[in-house]
Amino acid sequence: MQKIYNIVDPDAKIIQRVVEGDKNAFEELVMKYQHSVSNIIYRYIGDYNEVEDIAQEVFIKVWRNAKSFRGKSRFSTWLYRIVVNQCLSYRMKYTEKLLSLDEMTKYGITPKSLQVENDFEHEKRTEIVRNAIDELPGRQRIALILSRFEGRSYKEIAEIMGVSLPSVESLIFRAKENLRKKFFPLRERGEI
Amino acid sequence: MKHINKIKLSAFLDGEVSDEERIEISNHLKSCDHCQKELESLSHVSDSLDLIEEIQVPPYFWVHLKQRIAEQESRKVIQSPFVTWVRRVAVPVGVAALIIFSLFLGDYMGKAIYQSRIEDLARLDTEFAELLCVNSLEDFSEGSLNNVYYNLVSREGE
Repeated sequence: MQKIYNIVDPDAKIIQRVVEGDKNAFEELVMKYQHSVSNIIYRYIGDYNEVEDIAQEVFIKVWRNAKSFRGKSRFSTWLYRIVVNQCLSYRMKYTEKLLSLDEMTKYGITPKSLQVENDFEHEKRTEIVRNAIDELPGRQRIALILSRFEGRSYKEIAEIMGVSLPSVESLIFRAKENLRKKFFPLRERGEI
Repeated sequence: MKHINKIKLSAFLDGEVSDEERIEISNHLKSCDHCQKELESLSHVSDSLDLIEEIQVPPYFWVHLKQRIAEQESRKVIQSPFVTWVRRVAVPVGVAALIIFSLFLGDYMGKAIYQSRIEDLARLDTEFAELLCVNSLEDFSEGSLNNVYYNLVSREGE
């Protein structure tokens, strides 16, 4: 049998079984990565109700395209690339519907957390951070999420996003810089 | 004093610099308030991100996923080669044939209706000639029929 995996990949054997159509192997993969995939999507999209649908689309793509996975990168890198593309395309579709925190304030809309009676300060602060992340440009946001929440190395993020290492450094720094600018007045007022 | 590049400082915070760079930055930070504040500020941003909680995987995720895959695969089965052939070849060819047939039928019916109308007109001419007691209307020069009709009506009056 031709060996298609030329790098050390802990998922090599399991993905080989998936390629052969083994649904149990696919279930193992789903169980292993569903939490991570769901959380990346949630942190990127910010809407829990959409998470399941998008995460399932990701795994359906894995199931359908497993044969095209050639083992040039680790399976997890390939999987996260699908997640990133799915998130970016979702965002492109629905970006017009979303209002920024500034726009919400401008139009007199109260963020969700503030609509809840007996609101906790923690929820309010979370909502502020959540909205600030939502306002980051897509690529900055995804790089930050993969680094900060998923613990992926800059090198792996570069592979996932198909960009150079210095680009990842720059994307993550600019994401933090943008957040810092947004948080500064809130920090001054003691809101976060 | 030359300050640390901000991008490098951010990477340092994430543990994404080489050992050599890490030592160099650490040494610099000991004697540079500006870079220390910069690092602290970036660190606050990172800490704020901890507010975003983790979510649990939606319940029955695997069950729903299996159902969706099964549905999509059953749809594939329905799309057998015969169904594909019908959709891609038979239907377009059938529609084209129907259009061509309609054109021919329209032409044929148009001619038939025209022919029928010509025959009706000829029959009317004959009936009118018989009514006037003549063999053919063509026996009369143009304008003379009025005179014949006038004479006939005048005789009836007598």
